[in-house]
Amino acid sequence: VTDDPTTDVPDQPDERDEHVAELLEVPPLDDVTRRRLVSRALEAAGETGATDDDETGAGAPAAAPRGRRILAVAAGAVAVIAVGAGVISALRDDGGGSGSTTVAGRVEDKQAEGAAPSTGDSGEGLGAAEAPAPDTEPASPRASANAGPIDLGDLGDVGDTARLRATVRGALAGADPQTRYLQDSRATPCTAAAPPPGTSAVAVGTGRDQGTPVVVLVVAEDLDRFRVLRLDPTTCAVKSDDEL
Amino acid sequence: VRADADDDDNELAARAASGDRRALETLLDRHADRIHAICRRVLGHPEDALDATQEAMIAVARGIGRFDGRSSFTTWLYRVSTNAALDEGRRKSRRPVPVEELPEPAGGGSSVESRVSSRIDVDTALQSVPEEFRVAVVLRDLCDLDYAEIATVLDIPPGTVRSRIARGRRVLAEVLGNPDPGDERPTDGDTP
Repeated sequence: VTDDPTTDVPDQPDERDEHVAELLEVPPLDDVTRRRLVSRALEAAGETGATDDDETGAGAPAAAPRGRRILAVAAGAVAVIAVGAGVISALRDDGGGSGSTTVAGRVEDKQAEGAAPSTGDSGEGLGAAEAPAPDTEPASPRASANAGPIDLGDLGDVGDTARLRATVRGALAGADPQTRYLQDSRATPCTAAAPPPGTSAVAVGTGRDQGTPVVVLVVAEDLDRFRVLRLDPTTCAVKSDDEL
Repeated sequence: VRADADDDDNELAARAASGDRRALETLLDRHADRIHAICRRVLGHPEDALDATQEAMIAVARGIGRFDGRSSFTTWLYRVSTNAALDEGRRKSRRPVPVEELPEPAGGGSSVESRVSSRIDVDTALQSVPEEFRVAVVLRDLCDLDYAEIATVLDIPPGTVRSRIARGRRVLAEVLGNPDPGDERPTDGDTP
C-alpha cells in the first residue's frame, strides 16, 4: 500500500472525525485491573531500576509474553494435579476457611520475567490452549508442598462468560506459582466440594455475577484442558460451567 | 484544560524521573485507560491489549528516569504505548489463535447486544486497516492528537500523517459501511 502523502488524498481539514471517535471508544478499565497494571509496572521498575535503553522507552517490553506466564501457571497446575486426590481430601477435611482474597496480595513477582527477552522479538507467545506440556518448567517446590489452588483474588464482574474467560486467563497469566498458591486452610469449601469428578481444582477466586457474589473455580481435566465454574459461595452449587 | 493537564503531567513526570514513586504511580494510574485504549484499538483483541498495556506501563516506569522534559510527557507516553501495541501485534502474528480466543458471535436484538456486535465489527474492521494507517487514525480520532503531535509520536512527516489518516478512515468506512462484499449499500464517512 502506498504511503505517498502526495497521491490520492482528499484535502481535508485537520479535524477529528467524531463518528470514528465514537466507534473507537474503549470502556475504562475496572479499578481492579487498573491497580493491578500499575502495581506490576511499579514492581517491575523497582526490581530492575530505570534500565530501559531504548530511546523510545517502548521497544523493550520487560515482561514475558503471556504464553510464558501461562506456561508457568500450567507448571503449577501440574503440581496440583500430581497431588490431586490427597489435596482434595485434605481440603474436604478442613471444610471451612475464608475465601477472601485481596488484590494487594496478588502483586506479581516479576523476577522470573525480568530476565525475559527485552526486544520483543523472541517471545514466542502461546495461548493457554496450545501451551506445551510444562516439562521444561520446573514445578514450584512450594506449590508441591502446599498443593493448594492458585489464588486468583477478586476478579470483579464475572457475569459475562467471555469476560469471565478473559479475566481468568488474565489472572492466570499473571499468577506466580512461587507465591500465589493458597494455603489449604484459606481455601474455600467449594474448592473441595465442587470440582466435578475427574477434575482437580487448580485456581479459585471471587467475583460478582449480576451483583451476586460467586466463587470462581478453575478445574483441570488434564494438563491442557481447563474449565471455569461459577459457584454459589454458600452452597457451592455450580451456576455455570464453561471451557476455559 | 488540556494544556493544564499537560503541565501537570510534565511536572509529575519530572518528579517521577527524580525518583518520586508516588508521582510515577499517579501518572500510571491517570493514563492507564488511555494506554489501554490505544493498545485495544491497535490490536483489536482484549487480552493482547492488556498484555501490551502492561508492557507499556512497565516501559514507562522503567524509562521515566531518562525523561528529560524536552518533549511533553504525553507525547512520550503515546509513543511508548503505540510501540508496545505494535510489538505485541508482531508477537501475536507469530502465534496461532486458539478457537476459543476468537470473538464470540453476538446475536441481534437488544441494544446491548447490538452494541457488542458493533464493537466486534469495529475490531474486525480495524484489522482490515493497514497497521500504519490504523495507528494514525487511532491517535487522531481516539486520542485527539493533532497532526503535528502524531508526526512527532510516529516520527514521520505531517504530510504522511495526513495521508495515513485519510486512507485509514476511508478503509474503515468502507469496511464498516459495506461489510458484505456483495452488498452495495452506500458508505458514510469520507469515502469518495
